[in-house]
Amino acid sequence: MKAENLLGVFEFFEIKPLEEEDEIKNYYEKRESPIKSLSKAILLSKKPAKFLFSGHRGSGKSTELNILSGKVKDKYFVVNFSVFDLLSIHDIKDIDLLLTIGSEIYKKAYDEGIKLDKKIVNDLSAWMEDVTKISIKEQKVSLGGEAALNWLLIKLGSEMQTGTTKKEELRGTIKQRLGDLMEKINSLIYEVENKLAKKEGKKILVIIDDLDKIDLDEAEELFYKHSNSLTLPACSIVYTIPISLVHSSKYTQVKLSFANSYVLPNIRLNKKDGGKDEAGREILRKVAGKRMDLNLISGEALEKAIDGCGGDMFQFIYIIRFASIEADNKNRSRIEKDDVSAILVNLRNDFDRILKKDDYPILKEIHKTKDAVDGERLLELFHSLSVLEYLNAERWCDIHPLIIPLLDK
Amino acid sequence: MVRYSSLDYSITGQIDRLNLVLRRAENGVIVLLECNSLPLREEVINRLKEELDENFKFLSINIDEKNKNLPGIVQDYSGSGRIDKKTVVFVHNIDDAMPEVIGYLNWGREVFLDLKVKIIILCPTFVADEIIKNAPDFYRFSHRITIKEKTQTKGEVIPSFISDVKYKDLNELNERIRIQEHLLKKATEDYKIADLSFNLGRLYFKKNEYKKSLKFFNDCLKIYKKIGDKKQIAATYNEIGLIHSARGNYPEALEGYNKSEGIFEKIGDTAGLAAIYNNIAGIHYAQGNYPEALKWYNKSMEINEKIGDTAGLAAIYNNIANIHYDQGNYPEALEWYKKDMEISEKIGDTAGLAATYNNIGLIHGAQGNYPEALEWYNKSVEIREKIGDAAGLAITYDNIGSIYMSQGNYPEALEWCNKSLEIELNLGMSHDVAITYSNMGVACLKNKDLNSALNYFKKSRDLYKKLGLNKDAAEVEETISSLTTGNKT
Repeated sequence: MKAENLLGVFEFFEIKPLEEEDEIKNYYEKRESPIKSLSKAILLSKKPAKFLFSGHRGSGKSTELNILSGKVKDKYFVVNFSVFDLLSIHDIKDIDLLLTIGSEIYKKAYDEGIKLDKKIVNDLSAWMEDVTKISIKEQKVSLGGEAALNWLLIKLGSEMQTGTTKKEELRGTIKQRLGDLMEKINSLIYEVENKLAKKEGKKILVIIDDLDKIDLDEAEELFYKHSNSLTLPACSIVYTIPISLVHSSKYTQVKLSFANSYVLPNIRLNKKDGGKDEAGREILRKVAGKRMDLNLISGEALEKAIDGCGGDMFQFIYIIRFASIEADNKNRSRIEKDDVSAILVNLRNDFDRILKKDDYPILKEIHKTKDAVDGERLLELFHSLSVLEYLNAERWCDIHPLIIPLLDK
Repeated sequence: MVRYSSLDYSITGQIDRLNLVLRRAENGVIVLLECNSLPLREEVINRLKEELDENFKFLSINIDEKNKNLPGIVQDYSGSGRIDKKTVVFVHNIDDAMPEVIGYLNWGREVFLDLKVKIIILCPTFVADEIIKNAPDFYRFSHRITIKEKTQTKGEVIPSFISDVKYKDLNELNERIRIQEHLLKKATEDYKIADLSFNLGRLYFKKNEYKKSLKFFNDCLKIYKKIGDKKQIAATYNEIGLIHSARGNYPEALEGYNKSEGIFEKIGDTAGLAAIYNNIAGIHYAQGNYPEALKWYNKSMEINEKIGDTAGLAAIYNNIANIHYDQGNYPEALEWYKKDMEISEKIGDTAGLAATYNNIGLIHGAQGNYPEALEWYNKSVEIREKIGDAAGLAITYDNIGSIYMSQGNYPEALEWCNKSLEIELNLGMSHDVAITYSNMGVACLKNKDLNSALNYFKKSRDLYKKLGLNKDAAEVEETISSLTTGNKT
């Protein structure tokens, strides 16, 4: 299934990660990705291991993680969640993540009808009631022990997302009882795995998506200062992290606490010497071809969209999606170059707004040398995608193609 | 934990000495009477007054914050004819005049010699130490007599666990043990067996079942070594150190801590180091080596402040307070306990609070403030009963007994000692058992039951010997021999 007309383009170029198996089958285009190595590392790990996974915003990480889930699902009970759905993105602490990891494992086991030992459920319920001050007894509907705990965890989740005071209090309490929390979470993990052992012998893998959207400061606080806590759960975990953390001076230290770290490279459109990289461009052409009849876009327009996205999958999809509206507005039946240009102007204006005067000399230097050396400001430029990194055979950087015309301003 | 060390006899011996010094000192004498407990000071003064002949007169001087010039005050009294060669002057509250009084003493020492006064300066250990260090010229002319408390007490130390167990009551603890044992039975992977054994070690430790606890820690240690989990190896050594420390096996405890420290240092785990430093300090404290203990507490405090570990800080505050308490610096000790309490209350660390309440009780006891002491002990007992902290209860019961002992209610004191002993024997807390036996000996002796007293002292001595605590054993031995040879004066 793909778009047969402009109206369809808008629909098929929906900006969201590929999730379902057939979605991936239909629309995913093979590209350079560390997911194969990551899945191998997970499958070969004899004991629980913690991995870091990063990439530029919009590079397609979530899709890759969904592919990872598929690759390991025969051996692993995959608990996949986005911090966007469960926590407040601007305020995430290690305790929140640990609690959420435990909660999500329980909820998934509950949803899948895995019957856990009563002792463990009761002990966990009593403890959670005590530390969260959420009383199961307040529940009017009389539920079984398992359902009541599930209810408590859902309620806890919504409090974690909203209530600031309560959240602080809870963190304070649990910080003093971290040893106990880990005893509970790990007992839960072991019990779920015991039950899974009877069926397929699966182990638990937790994949935490969208942690790359948090600020660099917060990411450093989590992965640098509290890396110890994040490695405590007795199951394998993949944490997404912001690409700016990878460029931070603390990253060498951060990596020591984790089994390995992986970066999803952007799709390379140009070579370091300025020549076009046909292989990379071909990937994006194929991505477009899988979602639309290529007669719906002129060759020039497609190349313009490819040039303008800088190898960022999210922006590529975005550009074509909104260019289809531009074309439709002009009653065209296919997207033309100027439709794409209109979108690129908007995107360029966004950059113009973010960038500070002092940034331009840095950007000019990077554009000239194709190299980016350390610096506080540079981390922010990575974070805003103003500077893109290409990790193919050799690491090199360049500024986002949309910024080039701004340099002479 | 209250301990009645070599008892009344050392007091009697020292009072005899003091008596002799005062009688012979024709040209006056300066006595630094180091004694921390206020009731004990009172007892010493009363006995001196009783035992010195009628020719002596007594005068008490209370220094206060307004006038810290002790030589000046003595000179004034002498000038007004209130002090002569037959006057014994007792100086009280010198701690209120710290630190300025030290300077006055050092520069004004000639005054005492010129006036030929017999002056007894009652001071706590920390003031005596300051005088030795900072008024050396004065100290050279003085005569130092230390009177050990009849009730030699030690504050309760809060140790650091790498991951502590907090629980509401014994039921919860037992249930958690059942769960871990259930999971352990099913576990096949090394890392799971190690983790569950480690948990069982921690939980049994809380139940004071040290043998079982040690077995589980040794089990997981083997596996952690096999799978190369350095952090957990270090954590396990720390726990093993804690077990030995709780049993009074200090060399073995230090061995565990040192191994742990080495690993934490290698892997750069500062939080782990802060915990170990606190525990190493605890060993030095238990052995009475306060400067060394303080050094390690400070190291630990520095890290905890840096990494913002408030619970860790609260424990260190309590432990530092204990040192000041032992040196008779009660206001300073109370201040640290208060700092600790503030944090512990805020973070809801009830177990920590119970220890601190107990320790504050000790201070009031040492100040002769018995009803208030009992009040704090009861607060501690209330929490400890609730959380099922039997070992803690044994300590506080013992302290309650000491209050009755100080009040001369020996049967009641014995009853509390018995309550404590029962728990200590059950939990295998050998060191505490030895102390309690010794305490019970004193209570029996005071109750004029010499045979039972001897019996308890011997039990205490034998146990100290067995534990390798030879100094303590010798002290009790001295008491036994003085009782059996009838040397008691």
